[in-house]
Amino acid sequence: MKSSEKVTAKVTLAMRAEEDTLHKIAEFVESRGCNNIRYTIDPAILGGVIIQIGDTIYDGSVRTRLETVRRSV
Amino acid sequence: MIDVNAIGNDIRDKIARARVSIDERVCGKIVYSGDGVIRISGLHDVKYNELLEVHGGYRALALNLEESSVGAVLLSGSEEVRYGDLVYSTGETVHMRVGEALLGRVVDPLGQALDGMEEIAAGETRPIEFPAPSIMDRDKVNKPLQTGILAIDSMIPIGRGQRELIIGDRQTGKTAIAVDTILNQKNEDVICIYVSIGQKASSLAKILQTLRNAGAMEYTCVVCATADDAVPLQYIAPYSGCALAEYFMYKGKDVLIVYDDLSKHAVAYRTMSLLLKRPSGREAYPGDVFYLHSRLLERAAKLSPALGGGSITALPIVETLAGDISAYIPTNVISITDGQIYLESELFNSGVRPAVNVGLSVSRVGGSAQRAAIRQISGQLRVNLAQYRELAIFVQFGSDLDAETQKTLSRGVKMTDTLKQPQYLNYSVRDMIVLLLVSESDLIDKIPPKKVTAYNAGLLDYMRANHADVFEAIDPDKKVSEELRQKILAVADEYVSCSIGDDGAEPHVDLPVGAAEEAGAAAPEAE
Repeated sequence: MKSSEKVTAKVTLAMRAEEDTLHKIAEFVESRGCNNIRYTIDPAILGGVIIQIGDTIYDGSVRTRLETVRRSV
Repeated sequence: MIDVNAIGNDIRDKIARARVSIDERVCGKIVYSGDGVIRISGLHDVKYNELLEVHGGYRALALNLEESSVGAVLLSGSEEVRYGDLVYSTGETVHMRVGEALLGRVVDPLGQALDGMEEIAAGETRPIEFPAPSIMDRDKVNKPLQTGILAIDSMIPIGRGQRELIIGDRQTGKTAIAVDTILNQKNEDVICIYVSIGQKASSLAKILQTLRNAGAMEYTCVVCATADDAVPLQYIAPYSGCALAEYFMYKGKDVLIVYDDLSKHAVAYRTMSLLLKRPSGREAYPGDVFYLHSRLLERAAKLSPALGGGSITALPIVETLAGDISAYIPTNVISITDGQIYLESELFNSGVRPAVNVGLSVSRVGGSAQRAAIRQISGQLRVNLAQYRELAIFVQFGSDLDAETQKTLSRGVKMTDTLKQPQYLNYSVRDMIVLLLVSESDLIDKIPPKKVTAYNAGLLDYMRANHADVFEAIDPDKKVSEELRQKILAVADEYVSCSIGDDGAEPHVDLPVGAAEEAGAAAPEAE
């Protein structure tokens, strides 16, 4: 991948987050080689965060966790 | 008593374990969905044959990996999946549930119960695609698999670990042979798996009823994808069945697996391939349709003693159209298997049932596995029958026959009659030895024509009832001594002589139902 290429990370949050949290997200995303972040707010994920970089999804949403719990019980 | 606390603790425990860290998953987006086929953009690191998870909990199978997209077939939810849904890779291939719990059950190709009985406890699983045993892992086929059908066990013997194709037109009794073989495995310590691919649910229900009534479900598992199931399920059904068979084989068990039928399987695969836009070849089948069946049937094997000595005997079924065995799929499967049982509708309609064409049927490896006594007696049978058929064709043109020819002809007819056998009436090895001995002796000339089937049934009953010692003296694994042969023929002679007294027609021993029908059907013609 060329360094000049713009790699966008899509970050989905349930609600507006604090500055501190956003900073942590930015750090995480940069460590994965991204140089651009697009935020969206989706209350349907209930809480937590979903980060998508290219084809890879880091799903830390409350909705997915609840779903995992539901399936395992 | 249900312990509420224990359940509560269990749930708490499971929730604690489910709290995983943020999971990193590769995903893609559906850009096309139709006819159960989806196209996905993204999913850059997906592997061939990988199981995909579609948003909503549906499953798909990745089959086409291309530069910009992935083609996959949906195993479920083809109506619910929509454009734009996310698809995740799972890093796994399709797995089938395996284990003893599946015996007696009817399951779909993923191991889900279909028979309305209790859920099958989650246990071990096996990948449905698995490499066949290597050359060094295999042993010679050396143990017979008795079908209980005289025509097959005497002339086209099947060994454990063999692949024997059952081929014929529709309605010629292909499934009947397979089902009879399953029924005959009772008390033989053989596990049976019946894989139904693209069959009518009604015919499957009938087979299930038969198996249940005969108590055969105890050692049988039915894996089915009926004609209305998703095409990909029909495609994976035989591999799933084979995975289950392998589980038992690697545990040292002998397994019989019936694939009913592989022509429908090929059609299912063709459907998928055409929808995935793969290039098509002869009869519109894709280029790898040979490999489709060869990799499946290669997994049937007899394992070496070091690996436990288990075996998978495969009985694939192929349906032909108008007796054309040179069509694409039949030739493919014939060349893969170790022989074929060829059934003919002409024979079937003329009353020769099982309608085995002895001339075109062969078994390439089963001969060495045949029981010694049967091999000794049946050696001449094939030759005699061939001579008779040759003569019978000539006789159609001529009229005046010398006595010798007439004798050969009448014996041929009676020999053919001996090989007739009603469905669900399986002969034991001893039964077969007696019948074959009688059919080759001069005694057969005494039996009135068209009465052979009834006489045979009567003779076996008579022998079991009155001369059990002679019957027990037959050792299937040893050659029949001349002395024993004489004894058996003496009993047969006794039976035939006293039965003929009754106006030369009805034998006076009670007949089993099937044989009585045969006798009844033959009577009007004899008048």
